[in-house]
Amino acid sequence: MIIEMGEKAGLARVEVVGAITKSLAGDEITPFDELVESGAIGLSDDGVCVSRSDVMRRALEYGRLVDVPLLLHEEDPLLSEGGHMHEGVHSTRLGLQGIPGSAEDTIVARDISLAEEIDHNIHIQHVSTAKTVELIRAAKKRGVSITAEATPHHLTLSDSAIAGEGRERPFDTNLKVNPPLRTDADRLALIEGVADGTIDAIATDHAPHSREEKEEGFDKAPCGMIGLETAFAVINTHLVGKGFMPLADAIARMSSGPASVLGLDRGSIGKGAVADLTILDPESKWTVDESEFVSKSSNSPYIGWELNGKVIATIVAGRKVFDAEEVQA
Amino acid sequence: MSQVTQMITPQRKTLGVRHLLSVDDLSDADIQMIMDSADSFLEISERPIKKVPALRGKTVGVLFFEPSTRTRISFELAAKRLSADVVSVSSSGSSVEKGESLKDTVRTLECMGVDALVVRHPSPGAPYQVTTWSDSAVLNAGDGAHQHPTQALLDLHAIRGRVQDLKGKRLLVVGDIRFSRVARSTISLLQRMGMDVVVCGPPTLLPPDAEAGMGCRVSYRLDDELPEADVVYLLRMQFERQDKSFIPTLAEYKRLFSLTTERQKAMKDDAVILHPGPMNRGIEIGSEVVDHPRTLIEDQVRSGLAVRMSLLYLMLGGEEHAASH
Repeated sequence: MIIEMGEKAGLARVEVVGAITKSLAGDEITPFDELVESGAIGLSDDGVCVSRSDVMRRALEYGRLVDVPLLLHEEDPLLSEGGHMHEGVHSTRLGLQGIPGSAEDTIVARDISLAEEIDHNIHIQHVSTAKTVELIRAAKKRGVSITAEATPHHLTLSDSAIAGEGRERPFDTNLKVNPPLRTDADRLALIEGVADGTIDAIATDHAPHSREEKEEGFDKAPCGMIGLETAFAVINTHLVGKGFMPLADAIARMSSGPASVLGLDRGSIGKGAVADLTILDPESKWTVDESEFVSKSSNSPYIGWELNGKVIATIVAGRKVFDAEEVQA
Repeated sequence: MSQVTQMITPQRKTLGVRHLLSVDDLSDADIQMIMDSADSFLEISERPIKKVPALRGKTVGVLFFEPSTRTRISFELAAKRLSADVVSVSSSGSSVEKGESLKDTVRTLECMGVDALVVRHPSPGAPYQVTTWSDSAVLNAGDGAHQHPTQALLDLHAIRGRVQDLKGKRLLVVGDIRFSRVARSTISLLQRMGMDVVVCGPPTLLPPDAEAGMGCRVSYRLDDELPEADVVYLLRMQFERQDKSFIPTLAEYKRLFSLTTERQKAMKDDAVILHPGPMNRGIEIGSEVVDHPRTLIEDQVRSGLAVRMSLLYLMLGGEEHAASH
């Protein structure tokens, strides 16, 4: 149904991912083949972790049946339970219960071990810690079939922002996200991972929430931030502009990188290729304005940021579906 | 002429901050001003007639979204002693219980014309959000495990009455520091006063990265630390968190960290003991220790009232009255 709706709207490629376990409960695997036959291009319990090791191992085994990647949300729910931000000096000062980095990297280590043993490919979603980057880098070196992604927010923000550093006030609930924003050292390790290809893709983990939801206290507000409209500009300004990587590599991580993770024949320009294109102006300067989001919600951590780079137009299968000038007019 | 009448002059100073959200917002001059005016209000509290007209015509909203007795009563009484009108909202028996959001409650009071909002809320940072919805002066009366600035100021006031020159003196904070807003605010303020701070408790009840995050030394052995301390600050054992098994048994906690009569003897002769209350007699503090002259628990209550009067007075201004006084 979602695929049909997406085709009908015709504004973007809409692909679906099926669940790894029934009701995302983490106990029993889903009928993978039926899901893939119905159009799923990957399998994921994103939002929650497949926390039982036996179930994860079984999913990897059964996953041999289908030719789609397992996309993994890595979080030990027992270690992260009750946490609202990265556990460290800032959570201590702010009196917020923390989510330790080990909540992510212990599960990543487990899954690399399982994937290596079962010899099946895995994809690590929204990597947030330096240790995870190191684990993936080492696994790739050993030849494990593993890919990974990082979000623009984990690449550009750290837990100090929640303490109010560089911002109007502390406790901005638009900075509450799962996995949480980590330390600056983690952030720099992620950038290094994206630059050297350890991390294959930049993905937004776009999660809209209403103003009412985000006006709750920091410990009650839901996790998630929107990121689609700012993704390119944020990466262009803070990764390319600051000399961490050339523009061509940043673009690759946002086009061919994700396409190859998902095994899609897209994301590159060539003779006979599908004309899915994004036209960019990397020089154009703009300030993120809450009132100018096309998204229905505005839970962005970048409001007020001055960024370089704009999406001028997008073309799907040869047809122009978005034009920045038309949106402004 | 009392100090207060001298103080209530149109030229009187005001605090450098509009809101009191964290002790870290206060300048050294602000802290000094709060202490000096609290001294005067303490003196007023000892008079037969304890009320002054300083805030007549002002309204103080007291919003408690979490159970509390002493802090709420202390704030209400402080406002009343200054002749302010007081409206109180607590989470039980109000629209809050019916699901009204913090924002809507604040907006409602705002429309009724309050001048100050005293806010206690279980969410760390909630008073910061309140400042974005209201033009009133906001006083944080405790936000989750984050801050409790008036507690820190009253602790400082109570300690000053007994310990001269805090610079270089040792503060030993004992117990559940991980979940304590009192520890976070009091440690920060007393460090500002030049005190050297050691936190002591079971490793699972100390905050992660305490040394880097709070700038204090960490110790797991109370007996090693007691003889060196000038101020011993005991925190309440929060039984409501015990479902998580942060400590294996209460007996082991008491064996290691309870300030018993016996242990108390190891303290320096002039060292003092504080506890923010409510206390568990016989657990973190021995029953006889509570009543020992070195224990400042009742001074803390008296200082609490004086410091809150001082803050409301300094933050709400009493200029109009000053002229007619």
